[in-house]
Amino acid sequence: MITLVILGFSIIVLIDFIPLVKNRDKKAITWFVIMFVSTFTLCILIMNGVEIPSLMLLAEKLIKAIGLSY
Amino acid sequence: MIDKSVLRNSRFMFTLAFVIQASSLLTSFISGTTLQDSWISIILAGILSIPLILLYRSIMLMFPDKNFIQVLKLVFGRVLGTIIGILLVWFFVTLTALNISDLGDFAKLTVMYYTPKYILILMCVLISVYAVRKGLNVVTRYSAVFTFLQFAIIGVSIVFLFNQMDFSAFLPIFTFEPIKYVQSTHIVTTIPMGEMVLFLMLTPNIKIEKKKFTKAWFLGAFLGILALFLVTVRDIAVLGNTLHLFSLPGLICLRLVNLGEAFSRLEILFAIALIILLFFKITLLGYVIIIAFAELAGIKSYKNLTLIFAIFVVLYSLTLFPSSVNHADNAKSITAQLWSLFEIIIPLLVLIIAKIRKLPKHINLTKKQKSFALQESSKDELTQETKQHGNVQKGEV
Repeated sequence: MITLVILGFSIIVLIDFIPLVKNRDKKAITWFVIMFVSTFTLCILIMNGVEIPSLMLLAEKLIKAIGLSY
Repeated sequence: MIDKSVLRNSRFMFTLAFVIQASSLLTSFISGTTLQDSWISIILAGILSIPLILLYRSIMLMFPDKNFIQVLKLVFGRVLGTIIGILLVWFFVTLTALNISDLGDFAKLTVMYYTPKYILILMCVLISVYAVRKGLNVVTRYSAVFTFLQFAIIGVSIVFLFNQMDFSAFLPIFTFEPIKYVQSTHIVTTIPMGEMVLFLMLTPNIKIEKKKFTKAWFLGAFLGILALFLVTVRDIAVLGNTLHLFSLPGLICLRLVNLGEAFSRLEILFAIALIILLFFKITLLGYVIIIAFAELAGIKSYKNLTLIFAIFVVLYSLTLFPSSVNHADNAKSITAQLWSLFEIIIPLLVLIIAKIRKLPKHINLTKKQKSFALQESSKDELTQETKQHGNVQKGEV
């Protein structure tokens, strides 16, 4: 599975990152790297069964604590 | 403008209609609250959507060449505008993730039971990425087809299920506490209707005359809410007091279609059509996310970021809710309140502050400057006319 994931992410680099480097678009390169690292990390965490806290469930707790829920 | 695609009258109207229609799968959010009276909530939500449409329309007419992120920066200032913009991107990302999750659950339940949900989602998202890369024209090209397709599905299903409908299921009326009606009306107003806020991101692409623009807004929203109303009425009439037991009442209704041996198990056709509708909505939302992000980050070309963003949204969707039941519970209790911030409060603040600050500011010319500008423009016109006249004479000779 990990091989498939690495292969998938390598394809993304080939399709999208190399053209960005060729165009020397610094802002786009920076954001691509940030997004790539975040997405890859998230993928590895999910694959390994790490429980990632749900933002919607956190929002639910917050809104219920405020007393705004139905 | 990041993408120079243009959205004209009918395409805008049908895009608006299908965005609302695509939520017709999610009627369990309200049917679990007001049961047989859910149709009343939909009518009330339709009425309450009128000021909402007028609000969005006013902002779009006020800033015709700016998307919502640009408007936020202009109205609230650079820092606060960027912060609200980031929150708005989170809202769009979450909305897309929730729709992706619904699509995965629905496709798994109806078409490919043994295929992992994330594989189904990934397939859909990869096609969406292709469309988003091609621009808004490609994303919205088939909006009219899909809107009519949805109406065809609803019409055919009503005809096929007519023998199973029991209209006494609508009785008794108004038996719940008033708060329940408020809750379900609020849910319909924010979950499908308020999602029209995404069109504020497409303002620079929409090129319609003022009169036609208002008509397109109202007609599009009407078509959308009409579809929701018909679906809810059908579900109530068919499922009766068992309506609240299902997380996807629409699907259960379609499963009940049975006209002899030849016309049974027809739900697969409806399921495919509903998947197409959801896919279309996800594609439009994906486009909005990437445009909003590119605007915030100051990136001119968004195309190379589309795929990585799409994968991120897919993974994010897997973290939101453990099951569709949790999703429905969350939608019933808090989503409407949370979404109100992005769909009602922020746009309303934008309108009020823009009015107070008299935005957008036009260049105030003095009388002398105005007369000079007029003289210059009339000189230019005269020169152009002379040139044209000369060309005509040359042609005649």
